[in-house]
Amino acid sequence: MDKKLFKKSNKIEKITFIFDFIAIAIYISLFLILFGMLELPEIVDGSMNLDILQFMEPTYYFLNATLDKLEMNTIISLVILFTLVSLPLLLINIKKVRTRTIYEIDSYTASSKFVQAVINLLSLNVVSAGLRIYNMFVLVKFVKGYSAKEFFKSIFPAVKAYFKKIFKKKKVEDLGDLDEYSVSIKQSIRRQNTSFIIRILFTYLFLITVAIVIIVPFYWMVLTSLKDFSGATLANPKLYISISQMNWVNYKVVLTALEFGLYIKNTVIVALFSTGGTIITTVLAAYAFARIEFKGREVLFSILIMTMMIPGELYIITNFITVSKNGFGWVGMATGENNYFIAMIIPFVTSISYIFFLRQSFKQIPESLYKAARVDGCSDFKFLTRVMVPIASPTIFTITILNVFSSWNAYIWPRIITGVGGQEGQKYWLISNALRDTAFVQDNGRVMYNLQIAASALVTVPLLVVFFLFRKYIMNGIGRSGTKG
Amino acid sequence: MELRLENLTKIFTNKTGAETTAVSELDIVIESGTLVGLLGPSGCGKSTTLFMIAGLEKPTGGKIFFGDDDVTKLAPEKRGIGLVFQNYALYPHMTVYNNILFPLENLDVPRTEAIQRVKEMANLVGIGELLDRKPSQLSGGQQQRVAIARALVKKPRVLLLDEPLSNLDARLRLQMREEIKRIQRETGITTIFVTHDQEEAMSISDKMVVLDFGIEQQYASPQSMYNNPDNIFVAKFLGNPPINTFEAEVKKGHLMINEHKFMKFDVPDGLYDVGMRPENFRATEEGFKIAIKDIFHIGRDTMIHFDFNGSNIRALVDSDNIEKGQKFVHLTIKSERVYIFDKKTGEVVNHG
Repeated sequence: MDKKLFKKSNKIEKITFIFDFIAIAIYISLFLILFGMLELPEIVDGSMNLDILQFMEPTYYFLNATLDKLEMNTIISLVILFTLVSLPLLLINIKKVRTRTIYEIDSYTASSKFVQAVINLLSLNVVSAGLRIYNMFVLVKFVKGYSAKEFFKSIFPAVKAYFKKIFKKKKVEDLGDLDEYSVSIKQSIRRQNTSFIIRILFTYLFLITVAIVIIVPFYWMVLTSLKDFSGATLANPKLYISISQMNWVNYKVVLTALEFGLYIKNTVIVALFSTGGTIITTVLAAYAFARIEFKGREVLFSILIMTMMIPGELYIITNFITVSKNGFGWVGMATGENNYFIAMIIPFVTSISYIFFLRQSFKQIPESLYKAARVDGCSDFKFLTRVMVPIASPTIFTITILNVFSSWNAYIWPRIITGVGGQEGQKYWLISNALRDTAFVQDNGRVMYNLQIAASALVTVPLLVVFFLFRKYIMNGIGRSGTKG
Repeated sequence: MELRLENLTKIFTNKTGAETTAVSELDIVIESGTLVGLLGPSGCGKSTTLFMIAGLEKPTGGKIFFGDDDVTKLAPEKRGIGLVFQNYALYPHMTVYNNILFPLENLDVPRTEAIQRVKEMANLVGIGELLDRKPSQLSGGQQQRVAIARALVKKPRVLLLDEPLSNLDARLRLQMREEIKRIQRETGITTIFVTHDQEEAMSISDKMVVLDFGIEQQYASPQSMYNNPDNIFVAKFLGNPPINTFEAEVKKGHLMINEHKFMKFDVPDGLYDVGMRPENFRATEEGFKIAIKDIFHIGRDTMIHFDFNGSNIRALVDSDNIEKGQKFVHLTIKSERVYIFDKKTGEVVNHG
């Protein structure tokens, strides 16, 4: 155990991160530059003729090179691929370096460094690849004590010995000498091993089947969104396309010409504010119901719980009256006097089920902490912010994510609100409304399926990313909310 | 600082209106700088008393004085108390350092002074090296020390300990007992220590209060309480193995046991409860002859079982004086170690 080598390896790794980060920044900026250069059909009479999209043959000039459509597609695809490989690699490595201890290093760590170096090399990040190879030698020295030269010398004999072992004939065991008891034990061990292997085999076969069932629709979505119109509407659609056939311009059309950029911005605004509001009201209300003693607390809480039994759709009419002309007048007024965002956010800045959920986890925090804080001269608000919220932070985080999900997916209420006021309301569409109501139909009756799918991919992918990053917290929240029925 | 409780009463009322008296007219004066043990069986109101002193429970009646100040209606943070809970109540997301610092933050102590006080206090309780750990990374005994440091860092006028040792294992309990005593001596702070363990209370306290159903039974130093219990409850509560009690008659000034004259007592004739501690018996040549029912040799001592007026009595005598297979033994006991209690009130009649 040479601590110096371990520290050296960590240091090299940290330097590698810098280059990884630079590479990723280059990929992303390259993508943004190239994506910005992509050419769209001309706008005629205020609308874009999307039919000619697939027949356009633009040429691009980038860094003194002339690129045609296919080359451009290839470069953008590669840049995206490199980012998709490098970013998780960087994140995983950062996590590993922060948590690994000196006892966890073995030869597999060294060999994984080699594989990572190969990946870096393939994604044209030569500096990181070189540093990782160097790090591998440091780790080999740390684990086995070989220097680089000895390591190369030792490869050939090791490979030779390995093959020798494989090709050597297995000795047939002679059971004649053993008594009956040992033979039966040997047999039962063999039987057990066989059944274990079969069980593992079937388990993974089942899991792989289910995974395919789940993954295929997503794959199909991304695939179709990158095809051109005729490719997407073929009677025998292709199961894959080459990277030069990936029409990234579809996404540009969706984001700019079809204004999904605006809709995503609207959705982010609504999601942020309604989530922020929900967290504030939920934390305060849950604390009051969990800790502060006041008259009628239980009665008030049971009334609140009772409202959970009324389906949300029933509130829509009353809520609409509240926000419209006869109420606060946020929508339904003359053009220019409407506050669509406020009408979409305010009715959703609190949630009874989250208050209930958070109150339960506040209740689990021992009463004695509260008493101790009281004796220490801590006010209720300070106790809430300094003790309760940090302890219950996983729950609050779960609530945040679930709330972002639900406002991202909200349909009925935004549809009703933005349906008021015609053209003006259309500017405040959220993505779910836009997906439903945007005209993907051309004048000649063609439905641009590839663009529609590109739009839905654009809407789904952020949620998927959030889900994969925070699935622990999401499962936690769903699991617990499952118990309340 | 002297702490005085006057007629302190706490009555809990539940939803149906039924009343439970947790503490009833407690009158105690705790001298400055002493460690007082609050002892009693579970549910006798000792923790309620402590929380009333802390200000976390509002008394139904009576007054609490810290020195000359009436603090009965004062908020807990203004009383200047340190409180250690049974489960320590450390903030799990803060390091030891932040846990100890937390009370000072609320008092607006200057930063440099606060840091110095935290370090001083951590060294006093012996956790100087553990300041950057989280409570979950500490053992029970270390968590206990952190809790004491957090209670003491405010320089409180009174330190209150609510069964602080009950979550520790037997060996650690002994060690922490001495540790608490040492810290109390060094700081000279008036301390109240709640426990249900009589051995713990006797070894640590300067004085003890025994409570039963919220009523004060006796307030004295441990040894005098052990030797001169005021009533049968205190006598039964203290001591391990417990005191022997049985019914006996006093006829013409003589205590009658197994229809023999046992000893002379200056009490009126009648039926009494009599208590004798097992370790106060001596095996001698002459004395009261008894028939041995059972013998248990436990090293240094020997436990003898026999009958007094139909009740099973245990005596703890020196092993040297008893031989194996012995059928009879002569026992003596000093007359001041025989406690005669009134049958109705339970008060002792031959002492004090």
